[in-house]
Amino acid sequence: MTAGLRRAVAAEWVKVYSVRSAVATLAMVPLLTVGIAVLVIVTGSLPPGETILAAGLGNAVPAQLVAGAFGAMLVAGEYGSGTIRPTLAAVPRRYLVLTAKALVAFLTVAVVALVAAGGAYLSGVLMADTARNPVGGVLPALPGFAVALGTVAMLGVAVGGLVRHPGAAVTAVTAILLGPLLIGPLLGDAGSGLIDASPTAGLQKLADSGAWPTLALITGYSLALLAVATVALHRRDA
Amino acid sequence: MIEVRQLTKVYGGRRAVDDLTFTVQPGRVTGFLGRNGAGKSTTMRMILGLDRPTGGQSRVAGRPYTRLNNPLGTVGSLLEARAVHGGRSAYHHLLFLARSNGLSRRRPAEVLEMAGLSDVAHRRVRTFSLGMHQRLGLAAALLGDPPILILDEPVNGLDTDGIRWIRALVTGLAAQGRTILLSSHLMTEMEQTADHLIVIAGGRLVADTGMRALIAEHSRGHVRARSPHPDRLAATVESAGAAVVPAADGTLRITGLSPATIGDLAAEHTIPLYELTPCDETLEAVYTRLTSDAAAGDPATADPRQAVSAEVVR
Repeated sequence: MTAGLRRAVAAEWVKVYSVRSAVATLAMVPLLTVGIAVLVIVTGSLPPGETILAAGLGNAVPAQLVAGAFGAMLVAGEYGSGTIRPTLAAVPRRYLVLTAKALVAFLTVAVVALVAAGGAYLSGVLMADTARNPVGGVLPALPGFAVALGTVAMLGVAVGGLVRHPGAAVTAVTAILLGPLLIGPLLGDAGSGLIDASPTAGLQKLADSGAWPTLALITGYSLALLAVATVALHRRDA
Repeated sequence: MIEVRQLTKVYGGRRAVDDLTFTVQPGRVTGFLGRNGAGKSTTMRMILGLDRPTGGQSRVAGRPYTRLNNPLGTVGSLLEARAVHGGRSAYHHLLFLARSNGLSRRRPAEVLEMAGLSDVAHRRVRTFSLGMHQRLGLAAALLGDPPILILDEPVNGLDTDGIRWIRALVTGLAAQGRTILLSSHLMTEMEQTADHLIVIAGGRLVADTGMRALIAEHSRGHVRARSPHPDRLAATVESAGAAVVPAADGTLRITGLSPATIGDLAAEHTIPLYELTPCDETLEAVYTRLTSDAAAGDPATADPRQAVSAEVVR
C-alpha cells in the first residue's frame, strides 16, 4: 500500500467510527443475521435435513441490503453533507479516496459479517434440534458470508460514487440486490441466469463449495463498477 | 503564490468565469471581490481542483493543485463552512483531514485552540452556529500550517469579535510571508483587511490593483465649488471643457478640471470663490460602479451620477 492510500484509508476509517449513524448501520448486520437464524430455529420451519446455516445465512438478504446501503452512504452521504469537498481538497487524487472507501467498506463489513455469521452458528449450536436440522459446516459458510456482504458494501461504494444523492444511491443499491429476484422469474432462462449472478445468490449458495465461483463473479462486477465510478469521479465536478 | 491563467468555466452556455488571469503574491492579503454570482467561488473551486476548467489553468506553489504532494501543507482552504457532516464532532472532522495528509494527531487540538473551539471540540457539528462553523472551517484551513490560504467569504456569519479575530489572523499570516486570497462581496469588509484587490464582474477581471491605486485609477472624483455667482462660474468652467452639475445646497460639482485650474479660471474672470474642495469617490462607490459597469458590458456607457451620491472629502 502506498503512503497516499494508507493515509486515505486512515482518514476513511476515522469517518466511519466517528458518526453514530454509520456505527448503528454496521450494528444492524449482526442483529439481522443472528435474528434471522434464531427465527429459523424457533419457528421450526425447516424441512428435516436442511442446515441451520444454509437457511439462516441464505435468508440474510436484509443484512446484505444494509451492507449495500452502508457502502453507498460512505460516498453519497458525503455529497449530501458537502464533506466531499474538504475531502477532495485534502486528497485531490480522487482514485485514492474511492479506493480507500472501497477498502474500508469491504473490510469493516466483512469483519462485522464474520462475527454475525459466527453468532448465527453459535445460536444454531445452542438452540437447534441438531438431530433434525444440523448446524452445517463452518466452511465455506462463515468466510463466504463475510465476502458476500463485504463485496456488496464495495458495490455500494461504486453506486454511491455514480449516484451521488443519498436517497437515490441507497434505492439504486437496493434495486441491484432485489431487482433480479423480482424481475428474473419473468424472463425465463435469461432470468434464471440473472438470479444466479445476483449478489443475493451468493448467500443462497453458502452451504456448499459452489459459493466461491458465484462470489468471485459478484466481486468481479463490483470491482468493474468501482472502476467506472472512479473514472466518473475524476471527470465530474465535485 | 497562486497563478491563474485564462481560466474559463462554462455552465450550460453561461460563462461563469471568463478568461480570468491574475497572480496572487505572497506577503499580503489579496481581496477577491465581486458581487454574488460574479464567479469568485467557481474560480476558487477550480484553483482547488474541485471543478474542472473549461479552459485555462491555475497553479499553486508552481503546480496544478491536483499534483500537489502535500495538499493541506501547501494550501489551506475554506469554501462552504457548512460542508461538514452534522453528526461528526469538530475534533473528528479535523482528525480525518489530518490523517488524510499524514499530519500529527495532536494538530486538530492545536487548531481548535487557535479557533477558540476547544470547549466544543467534541460536540457534534450539527449544534454549531454559523459563526462556529466558520471558525471550524478556518481551523481546517490552518491544519497543515500552509503557506497559501484560500478563503471564500470567511467573515460570513461571524460576530464583531469573530470578524476582528479573522482580520488579525489573516493580517498576521500575511506578515509572515504567506499568500492569502480572501473573497468577499462587500468592499467594506476588504477596506480594513486587504492590501491588494482583484475585482471581478460577470466572470471577468475588472481590476487587479492596490487599495489606494484603485481610487487613484478608477475614482471619478469631482471638485465642489461654492460661489456667489454659480451661473457665471458654471459657464466659465464648462467652456473650458468641464462638466457641471448643480447640487441642492447651491454648490457646483465640477468634473474634468483640477481645483487649481478652476481657481485660475475664476481669478481670470474675477468670479469670487468661497469654497473649492476636491472630492473622491469612496472605495465602495468605485467598487459598485466598476462591478455594475462590467455587468452592463461597457464601462464607457456607465452613468457617473450614480456614483456621486457617496463621496469623501480628501
